[in-house]
Amino acid sequence: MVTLASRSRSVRRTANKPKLVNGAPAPNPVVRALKGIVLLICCAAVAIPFIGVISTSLADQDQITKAGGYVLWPSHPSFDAYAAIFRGGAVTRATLVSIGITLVGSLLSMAVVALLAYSLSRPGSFGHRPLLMLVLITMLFNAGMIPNYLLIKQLGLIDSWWALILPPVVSAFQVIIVRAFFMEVPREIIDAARIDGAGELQILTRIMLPLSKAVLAVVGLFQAVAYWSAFFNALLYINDPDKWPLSLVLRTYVVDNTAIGTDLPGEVVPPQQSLQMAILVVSLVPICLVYPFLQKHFAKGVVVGAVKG
Amino acid sequence: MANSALTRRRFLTLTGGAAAAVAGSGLLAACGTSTTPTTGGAGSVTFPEYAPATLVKPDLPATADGVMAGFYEYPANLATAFTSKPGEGLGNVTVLTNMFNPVPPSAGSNAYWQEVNNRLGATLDITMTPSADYLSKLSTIIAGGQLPDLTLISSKLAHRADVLTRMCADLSEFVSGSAVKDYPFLANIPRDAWLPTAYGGGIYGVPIPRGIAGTIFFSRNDLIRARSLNNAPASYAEFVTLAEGLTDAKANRWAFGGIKRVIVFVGTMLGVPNTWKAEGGKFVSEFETEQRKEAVARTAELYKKGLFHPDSLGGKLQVRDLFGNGTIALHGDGYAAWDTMAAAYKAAEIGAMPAPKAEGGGIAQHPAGAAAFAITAVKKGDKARIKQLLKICDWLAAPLGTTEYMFRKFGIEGTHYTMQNGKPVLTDKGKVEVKLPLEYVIDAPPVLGPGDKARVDAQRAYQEKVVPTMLRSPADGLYSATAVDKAGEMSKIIDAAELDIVSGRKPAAYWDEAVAAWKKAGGDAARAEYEKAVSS
Repeated sequence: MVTLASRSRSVRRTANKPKLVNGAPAPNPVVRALKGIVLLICCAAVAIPFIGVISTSLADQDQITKAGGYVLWPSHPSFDAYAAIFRGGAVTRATLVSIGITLVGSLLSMAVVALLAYSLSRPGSFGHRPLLMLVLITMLFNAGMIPNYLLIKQLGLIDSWWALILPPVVSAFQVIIVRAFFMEVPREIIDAARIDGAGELQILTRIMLPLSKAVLAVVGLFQAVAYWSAFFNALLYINDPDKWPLSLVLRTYVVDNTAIGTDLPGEVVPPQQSLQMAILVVSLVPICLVYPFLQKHFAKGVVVGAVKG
Repeated sequence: MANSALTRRRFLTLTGGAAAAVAGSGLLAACGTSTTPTTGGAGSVTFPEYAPATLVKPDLPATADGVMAGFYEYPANLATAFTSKPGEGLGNVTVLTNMFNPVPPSAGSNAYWQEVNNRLGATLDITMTPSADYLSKLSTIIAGGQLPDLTLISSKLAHRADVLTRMCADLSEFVSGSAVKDYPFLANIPRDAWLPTAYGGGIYGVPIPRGIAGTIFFSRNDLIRARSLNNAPASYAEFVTLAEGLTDAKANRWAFGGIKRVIVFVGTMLGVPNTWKAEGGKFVSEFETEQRKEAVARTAELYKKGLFHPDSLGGKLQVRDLFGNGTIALHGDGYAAWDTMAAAYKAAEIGAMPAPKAEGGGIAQHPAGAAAFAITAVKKGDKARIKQLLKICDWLAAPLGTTEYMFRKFGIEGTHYTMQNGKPVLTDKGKVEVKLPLEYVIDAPPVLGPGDKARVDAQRAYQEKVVPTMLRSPADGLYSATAVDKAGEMSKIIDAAELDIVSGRKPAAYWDEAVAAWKKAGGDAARAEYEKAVSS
C-alpha cells in the first residue's frame, strides 16, 4: 500500500535525480555554454580564413590598401580578379587538362596499385619480399629532379601528358595500405574461390576488389588530389603552355604576378592579393565538389588501412 | 666543340650544384669536380663601346654616369629602326626564359606572337617558366645537354662560369669594343650592365639592363607635411627626429616596416661599402666593417624606441599596402616600385629620400643596384647563325620611340591597343596576348616615364642627386662560385644575426660572432676567389 509519505519521498527522489538526455545526465548549463564558446572559437578559427580568402578575392585595391593586405568583408564586391583569371581561356583549357590528367591518372593508379598490392599480399608469390623492399625503399629515397628529367627525356615523354601521369602512378604508401587490406581478407574465402576453380586474376577481380571499395576510394582520392595539385612535373616536362595543367597556370598568378597597378589608362590590374585569393577559390572548387561524395569511403578506408598492418 | 660534349660525369659536375640548390640534395655535387675557372674576370675583357641611341630624343637625356633618360609623353612620331627582318632565314629559334606574368596563349592562337614571328622573319619557340621555378627548369635543360638558341642565365645558377664557357658562345668577336656597332641597340646598353657577362676572358651573354638607382627609400610626403616635419633630413639625428615625429603607436602609425632596408639605409649614411671594398687587391666585406656593425646597432636603437611596426620582425608584413594606407611612412623598395605604387595608391604623395651623411655635410654615397636583371646566353654554333641571333637581340633592344618598341610592348595598334590621350591603352585582346615575356630575353635600357610629368621630374631629380656619386661594388664583373653556391647559407647567418640584434635578443657585440660564422661558411672563400679574379 502506498502511503502519502512514501509517495512524497518518491517525488523528492525523482526531483533530485539528474535529468537524462539520451540516457546520460544533462550537463550543467554553464559547462554547456563554455563548450559552445570553445566550439564557436574552433569554428571561427576554421571559417574566418575561408571568409577572408573569399572576401579578399572580391575586394578592390582601395579596400586592400585600407585593410593593409587582407580584407574580411568586401564593402564593394568586385569580380575583376575572377575576370582576369578566366580572360583568354588559358584557365578554362588548363582546367580541362587537369580534369583529364586527374581522371586517367587516378584510374590507372588504382589499377596498378591494386595489382601490385595483391601480388605483394600473397605470401607464397615469387620474390615478394625483395619486391616489397624495392617498393618501400622508394619511400625513403628519391632519384632526384635531374635523373628523373633525363629518364622522361629518354622515354620521349617531354611535352606529353604521360610525363605527368606515369611518374606518380605508383605510391608506395598506398601500396602498403591496400596490401594491408588485402592481407586481412579471410584466407578461407580465397581458398573457397580457388576450389571453385578461380585463378589469381579472377580472385582479384571477383573477390578482392569488390571487398575493397573503401580502400580503393582512399587510393583514388589521394591520387586525385595529388594529380590535381601537382605542378612541378609539368614545370619540368611540359614546354607547351597549352598543355599545362591548372595548378601550373594558376601558379603563374600566385607566385609571379607582382603587378600592383599600372600607369596605363584603361588597364586595371586587379590587386595581387585578390588574384591570389581568387585562384585559391578556383583551385579548391573541384576538390570541394568531389569530396562529399567520397567522404564516407574515405574515412572508412583510412581507418581500415590504419589498424590492419 | 669538344668542350661542349657532355659525358655523364661531366653533366653531373655541371648540374650538381644547381640541383643541390634547388632540390636540397648534395649527392650530385659530390660526383665530380670542376676543372674550368671558378672565377670570372672582367679585367681582360674589352666590353662593348657604349653608344647611346640617337633615333629618338628623350625629354631628359640619359647621362654617362647612369642617370636614366626621361619621357613625359610617348613620342608622337615613331622611328622605324629595322628595314629588314632580323631573323630572316633562321627558321626555328628556341628560347628559354622566365616570366612574371600569367601565361599567354600559345603561338597558334596568339595573333601577337604570330606577328612577332612575322616581323622577325623567324619562328620564336619560347619556353616560358614561372620565375620562382626558373632555376629548376634551367638546371634540367642544362642536364639534358641541349641548350636552346637563347637562354636566360640566372645570376643564382651554380657553376655558372662552367656552364657558360663550355656550352655557350663567346660573343667577344661580335660585340667587343667597336664591333658592337653592328648592333646599335646593344651598343645602347650601358657598360655597367655588360659586367656580369664576362667569364674567363670572354663575353658570354647579352645583358637585360636595369637602372643602377637600385633601392630607394620612399617617403609619404603628405604625412610628413601634415606633421610639419622635414622630408629631407641632413643628418642621422634629423632622420631619427623625422622617424619619431612620424610614429604614433596609438594611431597605429609607424615610421618603418621592414628591418633590412632600414639597416641598409642607415649603413648608407654611415658609409658602408657596397657589398665589398677593394684596397690594393685585397677585398673586405661590408659585413667586416665597423660601419656595418654600427648600422645594425643603430637600427636596434630605432627599434627600441618603438619606431617600427610591431610585426616588423616576422618579415610577413604587406609593407607596400601598409605604406599605401599610411600605416608606415618610410619604405625601401626598388626604383621601379615608384610608378607601380603611385598607380596603386593614388591618394598617397610618394617621395624619395636620399640618405644624408650621418654627421651631416651632404648626401651620402648610395650603393649602386644591379645594372642587369640577368644575361641571355647564345648557344654555340656557326658564326652566321650567332650573328643573326644577335640581330634578333638587337631588335628586342630597340628603345622607346621606335615602332619595334611600341609593337613589342603593346602589340598591333588597333588590334591590341589604341592611343588615347597620347597613351597606349590595351584592348581586351591585348591584355591576353601581349604577355609574351620578350623583355626577359633582351630589353631596351629602362627609362623614366612616360607618365605624370611631376613624377618623372621628381624621379629624375632624385637620380641626379644620387646616381653621380653612386658606389659600385668592386665585385661587379667578377665571379665567385662560392658566393653563388653558398649564398643562401651565408645570407641566413647575417639575416638571423641582424634580427637577433635589432630585436634585442642578442647584444650588438654578437655581430662579430656572426661575421666569423659567415666567413667560415664561405665569406673567406669568396674573398679569395674575388682576389684571384682581380689578380688574374
